[in-house]
Amino acid sequence: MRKSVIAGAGILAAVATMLLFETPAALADVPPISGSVQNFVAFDEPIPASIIPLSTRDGGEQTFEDFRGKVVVVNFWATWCGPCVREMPTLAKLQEHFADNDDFAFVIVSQDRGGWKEIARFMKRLKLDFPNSLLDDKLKLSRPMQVRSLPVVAIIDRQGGEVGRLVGGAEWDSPEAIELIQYYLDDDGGHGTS
Amino acid sequence: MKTNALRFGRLLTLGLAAQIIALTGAFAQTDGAASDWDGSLDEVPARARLIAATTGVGQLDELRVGIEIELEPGFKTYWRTPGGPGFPTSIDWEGSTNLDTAAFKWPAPTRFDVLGFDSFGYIDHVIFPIEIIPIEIGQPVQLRANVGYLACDDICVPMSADLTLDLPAGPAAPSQFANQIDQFRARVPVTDGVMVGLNFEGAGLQGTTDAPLVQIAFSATEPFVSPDVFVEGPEEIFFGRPEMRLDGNTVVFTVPAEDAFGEEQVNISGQPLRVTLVEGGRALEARINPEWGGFDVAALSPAIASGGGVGIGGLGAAGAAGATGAAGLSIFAVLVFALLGGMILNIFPCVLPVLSIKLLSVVGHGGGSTREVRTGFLASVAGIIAAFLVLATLVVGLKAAGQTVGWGIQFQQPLFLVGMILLLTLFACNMWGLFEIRLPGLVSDTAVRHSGGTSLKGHFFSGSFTTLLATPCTAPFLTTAIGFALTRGIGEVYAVFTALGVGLAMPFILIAAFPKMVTKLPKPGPWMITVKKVLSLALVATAVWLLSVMAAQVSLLTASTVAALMVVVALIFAMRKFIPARAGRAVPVAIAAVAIFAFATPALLPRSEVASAGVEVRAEVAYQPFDPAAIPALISTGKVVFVHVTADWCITCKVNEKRVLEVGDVASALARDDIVVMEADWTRPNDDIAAYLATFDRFGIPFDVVYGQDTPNGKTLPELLTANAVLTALGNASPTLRLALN
Repeated sequence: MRKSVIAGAGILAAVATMLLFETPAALADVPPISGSVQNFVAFDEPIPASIIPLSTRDGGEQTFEDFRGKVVVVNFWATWCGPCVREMPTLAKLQEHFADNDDFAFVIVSQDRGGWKEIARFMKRLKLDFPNSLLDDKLKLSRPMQVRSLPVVAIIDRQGGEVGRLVGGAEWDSPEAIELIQYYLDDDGGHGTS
Repeated sequence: MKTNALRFGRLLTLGLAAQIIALTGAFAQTDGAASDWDGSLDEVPARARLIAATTGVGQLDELRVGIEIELEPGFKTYWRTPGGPGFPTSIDWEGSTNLDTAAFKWPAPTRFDVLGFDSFGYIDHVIFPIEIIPIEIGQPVQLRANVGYLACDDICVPMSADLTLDLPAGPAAPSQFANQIDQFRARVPVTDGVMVGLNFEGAGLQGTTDAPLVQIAFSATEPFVSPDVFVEGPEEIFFGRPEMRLDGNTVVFTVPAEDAFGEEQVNISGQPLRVTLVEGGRALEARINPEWGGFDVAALSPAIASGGGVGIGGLGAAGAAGATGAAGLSIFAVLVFALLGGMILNIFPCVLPVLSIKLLSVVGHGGGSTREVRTGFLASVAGIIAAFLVLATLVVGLKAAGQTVGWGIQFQQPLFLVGMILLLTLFACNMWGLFEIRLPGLVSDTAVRHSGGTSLKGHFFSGSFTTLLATPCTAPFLTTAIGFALTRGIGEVYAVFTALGVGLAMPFILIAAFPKMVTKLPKPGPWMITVKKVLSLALVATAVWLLSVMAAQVSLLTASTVAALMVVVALIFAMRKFIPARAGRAVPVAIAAVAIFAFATPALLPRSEVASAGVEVRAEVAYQPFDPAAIPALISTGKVVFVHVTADWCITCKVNEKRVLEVGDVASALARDDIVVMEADWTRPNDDIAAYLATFDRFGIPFDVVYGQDTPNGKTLPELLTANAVLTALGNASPTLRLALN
């Protein structure tokens, strides 16, 4: 709530500035993008994320709608993708960092055609565990979300809109990455819409 | 932010752009033997097309085509076994017509590093040769290929290309792609090692069941330079980086195996494995079922078995990966090798001028004080080692820039050659007494001079010069040590190069330690002038040798011009004695002008074309230039014509030359006056040669034909020649030869 007061004050200040100086003001409230996540691209407007259901490893189905109300960090990857494999351990640490935050969800979406068997072997070999793991072997989700190269990490806000993404590898356990995620967690949806 | 926004924009427009490019890309000239590229590298990191060796299907029972993949610089695509994360290229021929089978061939891969993962595949460009068998010979073949492949660098992009190529009925004329397809076909590993001069010696298992090591041995007809091995097996076995031990023509690889899915025990004994040996442009494939202790290294190479030979761990990318096992040589052993190699360099022929300069400096110290001698020689030692450190820095820099590096690569640079020749000439003139310089006069002006002696800087630079001149020499142990260093990290490169420097400087170090050896020599006097003149001949000999290197690498014209300029330099010095002192000041200017002209020569004069049309005699066989039009006339005069089509990239062609054509009875037969041997070099695309091959329905090499009165249309020989096959074909070509060769 305090954030919204600040945001409201910010808007007022902006309007006041525009009236006074007749110049469009760039407000200070922008996502922190630097260091190992400097390739992150924040969208001007959230883009509604696809809600196509994908299979889970226990045989069920899940869509991003199931995480509505949470900030979802979603990683598109595949076992055949070297840069993806390399950043996987840092994503595991990121997941662990926000494990106690009920507003946060971490989802991985694999493009592997070898299916769950291949993914399970990979996880065993690298000693990793991602509870929210989805399989997109037919690219049902990747296509509408324009994921053409890997890896991609996208951030989806509480309303189900993608607010930005990073194409290519990054160190997701770095302070800059955590600061970036924290920024969207602190936000209640007012970004880019003012 | 701007670049980020652009990057994302690019991502969104990829699909649309690819379609536009597919439409506009159709205008390139491909004489109908290629499909369009499926995209542009401006928009996507990789693109593919179908190419064919022929413009039509002719009456061929096998058509040669290929999938060509071009990648953005730095991007890779994968071999049938990617090694690390990755997936191989796949093709679906759905929708093709008159297609019976399509045999997809994998050229030998290279080992590279994708973000810390050892991977096998192709960098920047590859053509996968494909052999198409049509259902109906002579009928059009319509190829519809959906090619799936992966392009990876710092991102991975799975690519999918729909390619279309129609091969019409009608003559199978060679296309512009015949040569390129055959070049990549030549890189496909063979199973018959004789074709490429490689041999599989044996394989076995070492180590324990939870950490087994596959040991694989190969031999070659020529010493190995940079062999690598790729092991494939059941998907549950993961093979790590091979460790290699090299002993001339024998190599033994030790490849660690582990369970790919994290199980403790590795079930490998007796498992069917496929091993691929790659050595430069040649590759051999062997199938093995290794058993515990099933192979005796000692029987093959006692040197390797006893821990000798060269150990090169962590082939390819430098990295940890636990490659420093007991099997390879330790860095200490390699440093000893480097030291020995450096010492042996002192007595190698290409170090003649080095020796002469050393001798001269020794003579120059005759009668001097021991202290002076010691400091002088220590300065030379410093010069030698400093030059090696500069070389090490160059090697590290070039390696970092992704360049191929090796010992003596600077000798491939014409400007370096000119510089060395000029320096040698100046030294020789100096020794003849044509002019006086203190050695550093060329390179340093503020030398710390001792009375009448050479300055410390002079000693230092003569040491550096020694090193530079020694680089083209490869002494025993030297390549071994450098080969080791080049596959390791920066620290190893510097350590090995320093050890080489210490080795080369060893005589100097000894003299510095025992200066009395020199001071007992007679004082410099008139006798020294004679010694100088003799030694200067060694310098001239080296300059001549460098000129011959230049003649081979650039052109004879360039080398002759530089040689003439060097004579001018000597003449200018010689004439100085006869001109007034005032005009003498013009001498340095004149020398400088000639030097500049010499440096400009390689750029000003045209490079010689490869194998200019002349007769080349190799091992008594006189190869005439290829001239198929002349063949009928030659036959009518009773001659037999042997046509040999070859190329630098065709290893089997080279094997044929070395094993059959240029040795024994065949060489003697081909040397006969009534046999004309024509050589066609297809190293680079050549329409005449391609058209000639096509007249035999061939679109690749090796290719050898014998023409004679009895075989006027030519009798083709098998790809892998045997002496018997060649002699029989020659004998069958004409009645006179039949009698002569039997």
